[in-house]
Amino acid sequence: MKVTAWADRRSAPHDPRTAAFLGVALGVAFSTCFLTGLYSHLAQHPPDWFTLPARPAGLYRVTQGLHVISGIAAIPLLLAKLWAVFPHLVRWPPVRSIPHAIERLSLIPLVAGAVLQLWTGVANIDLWYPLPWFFPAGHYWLAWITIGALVVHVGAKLTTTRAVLGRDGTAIADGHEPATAGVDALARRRFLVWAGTASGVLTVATVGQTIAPLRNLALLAPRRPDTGTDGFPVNGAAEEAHVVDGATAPDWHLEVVGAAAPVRFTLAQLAAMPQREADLPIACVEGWSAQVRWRGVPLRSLLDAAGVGPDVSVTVHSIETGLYAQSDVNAVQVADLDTLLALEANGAPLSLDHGYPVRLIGPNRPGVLQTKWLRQVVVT
Amino acid sequence: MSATAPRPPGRRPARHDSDADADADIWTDADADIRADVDLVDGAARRALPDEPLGRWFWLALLVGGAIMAYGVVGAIGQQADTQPPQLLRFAVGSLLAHDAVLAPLVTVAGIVAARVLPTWLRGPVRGGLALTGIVVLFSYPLLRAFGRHPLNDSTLPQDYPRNVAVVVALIWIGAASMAVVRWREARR
Repeated sequence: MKVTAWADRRSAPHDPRTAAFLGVALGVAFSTCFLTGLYSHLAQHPPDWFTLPARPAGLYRVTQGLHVISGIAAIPLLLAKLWAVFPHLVRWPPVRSIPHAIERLSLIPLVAGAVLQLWTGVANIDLWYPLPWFFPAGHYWLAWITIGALVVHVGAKLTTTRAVLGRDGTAIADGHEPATAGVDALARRRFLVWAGTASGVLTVATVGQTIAPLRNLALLAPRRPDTGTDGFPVNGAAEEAHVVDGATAPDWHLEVVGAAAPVRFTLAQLAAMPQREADLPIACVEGWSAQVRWRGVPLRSLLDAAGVGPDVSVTVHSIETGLYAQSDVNAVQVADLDTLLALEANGAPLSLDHGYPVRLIGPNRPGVLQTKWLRQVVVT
Repeated sequence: MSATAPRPPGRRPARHDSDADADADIWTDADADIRADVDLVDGAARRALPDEPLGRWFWLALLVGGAIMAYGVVGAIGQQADTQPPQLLRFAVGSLLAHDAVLAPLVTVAGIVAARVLPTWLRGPVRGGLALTGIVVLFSYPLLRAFGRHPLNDSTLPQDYPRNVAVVVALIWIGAASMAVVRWREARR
């Protein structure tokens, strides 16, 4: 029974109060991560009952920035939490009752899911793809499984957590005479401060990929909002997407399908139409974002010129083929005049990497839906 | 508090088998019992905060959480061309083992070694510094290996990550060293 004795002789980092503190912090981080992830999923795959709003324009930048930040901040908290409760793994007897067995079984999907979600999430923002499945699909469904296991866990630990975090929780958690309880409280505080510091270090070293003023602190960020062609990041370069020939072809034109007859616009014709400027972020699902001044033709103006009536939604198609070759623009977003067919970014003609000759840019759209290298607008 | 603390009337008398006792009590008046179930084992104060789930919240949460998990499992299987459930499972188990069988034991051993070889005032700063360094290096592994740097796109992993990780690690150890100095002074007093 030596193992049991070791597990029972909980030092402060392994006591219930430490675990409870970290549990609450992780609960906040995981809930934030889950809800913002759910919102991103809705934005990219809207069901019938959901219309992606156009305002506030920076909403997706905030939610997705939060998603990645809360995930990164959770890494040290999760490791500290697992460390705090690690002695329980080898406790004897392993189960004491049927509810206890169910509760312990639910830890398998919880811990496996949490660890896998966090490290594959980091791999994804670092553009590292070692996984044999399609990351977004696996990440999405595993999130439900992990959160479900978390709900079970919270239910199992709610009473204990409330007891040890309550007013007289210190005495319960320490289980010592008051004199030694003070020593434990200090050790616990130090452990929690280290965990919080680790969380803070990773956050500060990455958050500058979306909060531009902090970009010089973003030592461990996979992107910088000021780095890339024309001074902001490129998700996929033109050469990678094999669009260089198509985008620079002399006979390039943008076709609008859906009115009485298809209408074609050359680049010169688009440039001759009234232009509008909009300061909109390009905000990637990977958590980076950059504010850019775009200039171009409002999508709505193009539809007017093509004789398309009001209150329509459209699908825009790219020269690019593959997963992100097209995107839907709902009626609310089409009606928003800041939804542009952009010809310029930050005062310069759009570069090939950013979608020359024309790209879509709209308020509150995930980056993957800001389709580049347009060739066709289909009214749906 | 001890096993001799006042107990609500109508209960079985306290036994030495505190686990079984906790089992019987948990489902009746959980909050009171947490406070009461502090027992003496091998002469050392032991808090009998039960590991078992407590009360109706657990069953409600099991119902709701179980339904959410089932939704995730059904969804993953329904989209199996994309999610590759067997691979997902393999990586999930692998991630669990990587933590429980490799990382956590390594940290345990490192902690024990640090406790053996270091004076008390140096233990905290060194353990903390090692933990933070480990976390930063693990987190930065994909950046250090530059898996995601694309030759056609200079905005992918645009920084000098080996240098940046070195800077962060150096800052961590400057912090740890400052803390060690404070602890050393405290220890001398």
